Amino acid sequence: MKHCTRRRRFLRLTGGGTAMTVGMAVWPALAHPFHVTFTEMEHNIARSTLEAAIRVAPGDLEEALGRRVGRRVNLDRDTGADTFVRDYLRQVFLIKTRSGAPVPAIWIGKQVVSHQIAWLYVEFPLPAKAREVWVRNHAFFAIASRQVNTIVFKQGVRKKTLTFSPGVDQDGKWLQITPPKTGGVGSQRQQLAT
Amino acid sequence: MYAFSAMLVSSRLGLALALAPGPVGVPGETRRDPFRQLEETWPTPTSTRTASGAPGHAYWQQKADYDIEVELDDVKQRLRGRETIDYTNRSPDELRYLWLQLDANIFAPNSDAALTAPAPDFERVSYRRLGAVLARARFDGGVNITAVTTKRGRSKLKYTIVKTMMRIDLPKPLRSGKSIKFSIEWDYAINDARKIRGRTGYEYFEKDENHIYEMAQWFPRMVAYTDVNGWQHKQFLGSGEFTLELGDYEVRITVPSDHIVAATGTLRNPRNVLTKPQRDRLSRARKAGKPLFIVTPEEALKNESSRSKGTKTWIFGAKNVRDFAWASSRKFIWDAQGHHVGGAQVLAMSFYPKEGQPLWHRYSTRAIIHTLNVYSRYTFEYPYPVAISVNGPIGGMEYPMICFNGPRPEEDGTYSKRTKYGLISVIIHEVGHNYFPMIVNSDERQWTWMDEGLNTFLQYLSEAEWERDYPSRRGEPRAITGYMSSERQVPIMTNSESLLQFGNNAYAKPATALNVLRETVLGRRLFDYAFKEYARRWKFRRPMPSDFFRTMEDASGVDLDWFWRGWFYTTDHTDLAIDGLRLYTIDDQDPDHENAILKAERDEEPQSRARKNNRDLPRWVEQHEGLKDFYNDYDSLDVTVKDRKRYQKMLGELDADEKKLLAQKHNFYVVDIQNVGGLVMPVILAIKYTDGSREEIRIPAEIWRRDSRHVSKLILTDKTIDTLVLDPHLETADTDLGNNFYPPRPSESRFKLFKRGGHPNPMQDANKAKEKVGSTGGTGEKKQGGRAAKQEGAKAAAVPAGASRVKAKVKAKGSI
Repeated sequence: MKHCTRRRRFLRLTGGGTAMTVGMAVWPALAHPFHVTFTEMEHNIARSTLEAAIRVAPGDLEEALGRRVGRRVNLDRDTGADTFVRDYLRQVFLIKTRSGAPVPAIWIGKQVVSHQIAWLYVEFPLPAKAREVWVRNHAFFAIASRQVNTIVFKQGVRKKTLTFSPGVDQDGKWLQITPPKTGGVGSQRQQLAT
Repeated sequence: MYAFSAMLVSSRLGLALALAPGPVGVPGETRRDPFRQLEETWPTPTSTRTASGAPGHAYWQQKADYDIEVELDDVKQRLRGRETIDYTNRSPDELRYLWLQLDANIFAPNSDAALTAPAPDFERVSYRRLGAVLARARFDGGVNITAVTTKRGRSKLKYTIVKTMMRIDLPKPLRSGKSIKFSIEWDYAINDARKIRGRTGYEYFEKDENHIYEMAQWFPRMVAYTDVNGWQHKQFLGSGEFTLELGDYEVRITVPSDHIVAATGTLRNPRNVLTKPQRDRLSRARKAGKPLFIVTPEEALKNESSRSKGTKTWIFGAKNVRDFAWASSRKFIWDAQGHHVGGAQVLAMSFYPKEGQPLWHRYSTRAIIHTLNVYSRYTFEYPYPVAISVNGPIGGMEYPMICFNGPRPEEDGTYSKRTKYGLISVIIHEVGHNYFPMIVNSDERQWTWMDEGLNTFLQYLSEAEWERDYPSRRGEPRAITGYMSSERQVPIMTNSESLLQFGNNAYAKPATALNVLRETVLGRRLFDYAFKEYARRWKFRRPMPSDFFRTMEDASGVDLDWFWRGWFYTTDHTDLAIDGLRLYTIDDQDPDHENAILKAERDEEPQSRARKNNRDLPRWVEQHEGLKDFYNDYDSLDVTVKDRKRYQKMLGELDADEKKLLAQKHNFYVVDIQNVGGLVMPVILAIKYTDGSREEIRIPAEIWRRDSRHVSKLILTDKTIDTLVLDPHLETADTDLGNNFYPPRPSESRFKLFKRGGHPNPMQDANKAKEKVGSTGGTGEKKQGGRAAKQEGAKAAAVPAGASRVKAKVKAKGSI
């Protein structure tokens, strides 16, 4: 048991006022509303950054942003949407170093591919020689109780999958980001790719 | 390109080509056999289900006919009903009790669904989410069963409620072939579907103080009793939808007299509930070339402010359906268009509030007709008289002849591209569900993929026929690669409630699998024939997974066990890799020819820097006579008379055919392919030769049958290979394209491609400009995968250094 405390914890409510109605514009998809994100992540050793491409449902993102900023957000039309997304990701997609210091996400950009798919691109600058990071992706936890966020970390042939889901699997996880010493092939490919 | 040398050895005993290196497979290795037949996994064929996947000669299913009266309380949002079920036992078994589903009990505070739901994330919770959590905790939508009696209340029947199910004990056993009629009365509170999500409920409109009711799973329904499971005892937990019996319905729905009702089936009493103009419009709509209003937007607006005290009873009848759903509101605009699907006339109809305009009138009814056209072509003619799409609080849910669809435009009537295609897609999907599982009556509570997967596959085909470059979400192999390569998965053949990622597992992956089967494995001709046969065989019947698998094999004539095993029973993914390319040419053993090649090779070998610098040094043996002897001029590669004689002698021993073979100038390329992902798939190789010509080789998956990890394939050609690409058309869902090239190319991540390309990309700009003209807003860069693939192919990496002039049989083994 992690927390054996009777201390009261406070709920932090987000998005009041007008934001209360924002969610009305979002529709569950088909008969089984399912909410997933999928992240492709790689370690760029040469630049010492973690590079992440995050696939999200545009509707989920607009709903989450709407609640944060207190008005309806349209990814396609709002000129400030990128800033909202960046700030939202900094809140829900956390990377920390071994010392516990959070690594702020640097916003690279987004692509709205279709009515169901948008890609968000961010990178995390790491201290040189970082060997592992703490990762937690709570995107859309506040709006979907069965949210599943998957991160596939690829380093050469090595692959590691992390998943986060509210109530079931929500703790942050340590991720080894330098290849094991035996992974010569991996490091060779990594260099090719950088 | 060069290399070499395979010895062509001749003897009186015959020719031996010393080409293939190494044994196939690893001796003594215990390995999975992806081609192992599934008959040991599938149920033994019976007289009800044959080995070919068809219903057997003794196939049976129960019949349940319903006569229902229901009243909607528009003030308290409650529903009260009374039904008489006529249940016919067509099984060979004697039944001592009957089971019914009470799905509304999922809304009871102590339902299994509520008790087993994980806690929300309270670290950061929105007002709305908290509101929903509290609303759910306070709401009791469970069913009050007020009477269970023999027909029309003559005597009480003993019953026991087990959460979302109810057992009725019969006074005497129901023998095979006999029927029983019994009645149930019930009532329950309807959920606010905006707060308490489900497949049913109401939506409240604050501005005009009206409701839209979308009523589903609202009456006690017979549990399926089958030859496979007996009574289907799975509780309703929320994901696995239902398993139901087919039957006939007569339903009387009493609502406020200013409501408009849409329901499964045919309206029996239009004279009592519709005005004369409305009835006239309805008969005109049957022959119209476009949707006509039955209730116009103006009439609907007028209805919104009406508060009728009286009620009307709408009577609907439906034949051979597995369920019955309806919707009711003052707000409904109603349009309709008649359409012929094959020989039968169908009335396509849509019901929506003004909040759905103008999107709904433009697309809903037409999307219904399009769906019926395409689906009927791939399965069977739509057998029902109506097909209805209703806009309300439910995002997307299907019932026989009627479905509920959510998307609406903005308040100002504009809408984004996403909303537009979201609406068309969801209507195609939900109307499409009429075929699977409403008519092909699969067990949704057990196997979600059997309806969602097959339906998503047909949805993809229908979207492709709606317009060019339709932004389909699911169906393309390249769209599933991310999920396929992730580790936390369960196979498609997993019970609905245990699926980890519903959308990917039960919708996208099976739909993609069927696309791959159609385009890459079987081809359209064989696939379409077999798929249609499956639909025909199981129309109005209850198939199980093995019936689908067996029929697809039986009707296509192709053993697909490997395909079902890999895609449906495992979580393996496609990742084939080019492991190397070796070139062999025939050694004609002519010393003049052969030694010249070897000399040239030797001359091309790199010299050390010291040797180079030493080249012009004065040499001792040059300066002093008598130091040179035979060996100073001897070259082991010089051709001697003896060599030539030996060659002539060898030639003399060959017969004419052998001489011909020796004179072949073919290149024997051997390409080594590794199966990294584990899923066996066809090998599709695009070859480009140095003369610029191209060739494509398509090898069936059976190439992996002896060794599922490594295979070598011979490419016999007179030309020189320049490049090889595996899966050039992205048709196998290969999750790592980085290892699909010879010579190897570096693979770039999506992130790097995006960063290099800058943003926004030109396609997005162009789309935006176009959409500005159309003033609908929205963006859409459609072919992300295509762009990525293009860029992946744009730059080739250098061939690894030092691989070229090593005198070895292996010329250039690409280390990928």
